[in-house]
Amino acid sequence: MHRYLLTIFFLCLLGNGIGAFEDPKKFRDIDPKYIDLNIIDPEQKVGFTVGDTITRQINITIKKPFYLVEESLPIVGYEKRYRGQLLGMSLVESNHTKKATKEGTTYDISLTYQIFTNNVVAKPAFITADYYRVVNPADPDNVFKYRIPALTVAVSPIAVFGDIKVEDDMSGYRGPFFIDSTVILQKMRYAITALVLSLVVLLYIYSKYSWVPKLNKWFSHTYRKFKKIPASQANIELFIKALHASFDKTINQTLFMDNKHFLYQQNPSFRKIDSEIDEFFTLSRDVFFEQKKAHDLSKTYAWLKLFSLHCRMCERKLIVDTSDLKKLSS
Amino acid sequence: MSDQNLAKWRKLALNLEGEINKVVVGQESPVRLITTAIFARGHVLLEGDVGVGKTTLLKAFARSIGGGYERIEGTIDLMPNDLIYHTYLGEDGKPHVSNGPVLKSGEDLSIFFFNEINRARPQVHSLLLRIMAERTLSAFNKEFKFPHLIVFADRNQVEKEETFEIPSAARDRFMMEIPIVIPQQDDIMTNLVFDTKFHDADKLVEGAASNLLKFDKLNALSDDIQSSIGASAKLKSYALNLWKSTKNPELFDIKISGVDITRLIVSGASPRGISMMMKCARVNAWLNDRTSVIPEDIHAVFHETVAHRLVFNPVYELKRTEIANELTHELINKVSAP
Repeated sequence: MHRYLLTIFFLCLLGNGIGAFEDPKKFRDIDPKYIDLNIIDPEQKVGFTVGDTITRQINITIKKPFYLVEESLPIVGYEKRYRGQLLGMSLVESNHTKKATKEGTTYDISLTYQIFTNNVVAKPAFITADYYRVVNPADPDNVFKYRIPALTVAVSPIAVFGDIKVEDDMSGYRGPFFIDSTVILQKMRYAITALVLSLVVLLYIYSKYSWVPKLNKWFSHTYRKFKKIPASQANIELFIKALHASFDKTINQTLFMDNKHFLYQQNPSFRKIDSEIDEFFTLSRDVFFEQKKAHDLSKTYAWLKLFSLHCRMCERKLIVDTSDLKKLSS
Repeated sequence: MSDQNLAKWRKLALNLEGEINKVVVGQESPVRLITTAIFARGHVLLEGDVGVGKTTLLKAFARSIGGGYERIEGTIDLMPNDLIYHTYLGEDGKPHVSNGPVLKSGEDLSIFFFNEINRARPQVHSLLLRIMAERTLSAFNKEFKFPHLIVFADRNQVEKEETFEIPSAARDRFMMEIPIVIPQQDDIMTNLVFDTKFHDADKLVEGAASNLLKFDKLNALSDDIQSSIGASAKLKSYALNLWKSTKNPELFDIKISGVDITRLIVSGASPRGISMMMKCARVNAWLNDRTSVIPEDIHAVFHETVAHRLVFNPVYELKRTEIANELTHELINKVSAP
């Protein structure tokens, strides 16, 4: 029976003690003359968001005969609550140093809180007041408290316009969202420029006397080389020889009258000047093999020049007007 | 011979072609080539499958040229003396010797037709070789001359049993080897099958005009053609390049699929071969009413005058026909003129 009574007695004492730790407000306030307090808070008061830290520097001097109950200092990991609700702030680091003087004991306390909350719009948040306990060693049963004032800050959302879906939050207080069109307009300008340039190039390619990359092959080289040479027998022979070589390179074999179909298979544009090609072969025979008659050199040269121009146009698959050559032949 | 005379003969030559084309249909190209050989005075070897009309074609030509015409069939037991004479017991019971096909017409022999030449033994080829090259023959302690002789021979490449390959030296004596192929046009093929006039070859040959040409004038005419048809320096250079290309095709960037071109040729065209090619090219120019040879004249006769003279590496001999075709085609395509 004694045992039971003793157990109940100690439990009551313990419960009483626990109660004293849980609610510091129940202690009497200490006379402020025994306390010197200096708090350095961060200058930034707004714009905090999840992950940010806030450090308070508290310099407190407790004059004799009182001293600080160090157990009443905030503990790392403690989550701040307000009216029982979590505030989303936790103490992540706590350091303090103490210095005893004749007058009392001075504590330099550094408390770092980290924010673990966020909101769609900016909202006030605060580090609630702490109560430090002080005691007179001569009268240890009378514990006093001293209130460290709260720090009010504002927690902001991460995104500029808030972490929200616009369609879910059609707040009249929020202005319309504008997309920055500078980049898009720039891209559009580039695209229009490229389009205009392509159209110009296409127009150039499909025009009659155009220079076309990659199609600048054998005949254009021959034409370029021989268009401004004097009309001598030797030059005419060279010109005809160069034209033969151009035909040969076009079909990758030797072109003769009896295998013209290879040329037409390779590039059907040449079919348009079939009669001219026949005439060219006849001229070539006359010059190289038959030597039947003397040619009017200047007329032959003019004809060859026009013929090589026509071949160049056929090579580029352009429209050839053969009437000029026919006039010359007649 | 005057230009007018040459023109008159050209007309006759074209008539001859026309007559033969009436009898043998769908063979315009071989007919032109044989005509060319006749006026270039060269021997002709026809090559083709069985029943394509080789014999009919040659018989028709023989009829139209005129002069003595003799024929012999190549068999495995044929001996050289069978060409010169044959012996028999006469009605008087005594042995007699009579002239064989080569001697029968004497100097007037204008066409000697050797059917299936590859069935005859090399001894026979050897005798023929001399007759073809020299147009003479020594027999009975006497030399016989055949100034107007042209040998026409044919062989089929399909059958190989009981045949003898004609040696390259004998092949070289032939001015041309002309392939005869079945015509591909449907109307001609239909006629050959359903038109009864094509069923009797002898009767068909009789349809060709006989003795169109004066066979004894052909040698002189040929000389005249050769001297009157010119060849420019460029043409000579082109022909020379073609000749070189037959010896070293790799130098002219010739490529044939599946053939190592550097190992293909053992021996290119002979000087005789190229001179025969030029003779034929001149005749072709004359037949086309030109006074000078142009590259197309050479092309017209190149394969037929050159292909059979090329000696291939034995590895490639079995596919001779296909390779020779592709090679000559490539040579013409790759050697440039002028």
